[in-house]
Amino acid sequence: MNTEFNEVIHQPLRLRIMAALHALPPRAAVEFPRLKSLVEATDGNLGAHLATLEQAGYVRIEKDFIDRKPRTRITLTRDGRRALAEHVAHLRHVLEGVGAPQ
Amino acid sequence: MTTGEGMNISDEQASAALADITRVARRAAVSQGYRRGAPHLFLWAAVWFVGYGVSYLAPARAGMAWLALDIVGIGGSYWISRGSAQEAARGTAQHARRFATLGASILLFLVSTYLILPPTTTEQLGAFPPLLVAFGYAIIGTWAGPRWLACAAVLFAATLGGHFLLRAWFMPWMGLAGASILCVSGLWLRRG
Repeated sequence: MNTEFNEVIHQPLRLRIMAALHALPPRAAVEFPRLKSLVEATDGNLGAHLATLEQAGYVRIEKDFIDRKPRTRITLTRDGRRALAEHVAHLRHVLEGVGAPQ
Repeated sequence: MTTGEGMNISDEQASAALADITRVARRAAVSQGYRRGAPHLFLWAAVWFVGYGVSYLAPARAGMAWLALDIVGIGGSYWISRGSAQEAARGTAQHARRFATLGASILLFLVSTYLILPPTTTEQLGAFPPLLVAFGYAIIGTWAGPRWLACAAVLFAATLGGHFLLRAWFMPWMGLAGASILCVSGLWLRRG
C-alpha cells in the first residue's frame, strides 16, 4: 500500500470525521447530527470541514427533506477510504521509525 | 487537495493521530452496534408483552402462545439482522449459518437447563428466559458498550424483584415492566 502524508485528512477534526465514517459499514450514510456527536464538533465547525473533505472528493454530502425537515447525509467515498488508509499507513511508518517513503 | 510526502511529523504527532483514529472508530462502532440492536429490543418487547399477558390471562394457552410468539420473534430477529449483514457487506449465507448456530445453542441451553433443573412453578419457568437475556446483554455489554450492561442490570433487577417480591403478579409484571425495559432500552440504544 502507498503511504502518504495527507494534509487534508491530518487536520484533527477532519481526521476524526474520516475515522468515524470509515468505521461504519461501506457505503453507509450517516446523518449530520449523529456525525456531530461522534466527532464532538459544533454545527459550524463540522459543516466547514465537511465542505473541505467534499471538495477533496473524500466524502459525498446529500441533502434532502424528510417530513419537511432538512436532512444531511454524509458518505465516505472510495477515494476517501483509500486516502485514509494511506494516511494511516504513513502514520504507522513514522511510528515504526521508517519515516516517509522516498 | 493537498497531499505530500515531504511533510514531516513527529512520533508524538503520529501517535496522537492514530490514538484519535482508534478512539473515534471505537465510538462509531459502539454507536453502530447500539443502533443495530435497538429494533430487536422493540420486537422482543412486543413478544414479551403478549406472551406474559397470555400467561397471566389464559395460562392454559400459554405454551402454544409462547411457541408461536418465539417463532415470530426469532423470524423477526433473523429478518432484522439480515438487513444489518447486507449493510455490512457480509454474505447472507454466512449470516444465516451464524444465526442458526446461535439460535440452536440458546435453545439447547434452555432445554438442557429445564431438563436438569426442572422448574417447579410457572414463575420459575417465566423468570429464566429474561435472566438468560439479561446475561446475554451483560456479555454483549462487556465488549460492545456500557448501555448494554445498564440494560442487563435493570432487567436482572426487574426479573429478580418480580420473582421474589411480586410472585402473584409476576406474569403481568414481566409483561409490563419487562417489555417496558426492553422498549426504553431500545429507544436509548437507537440514539446511537
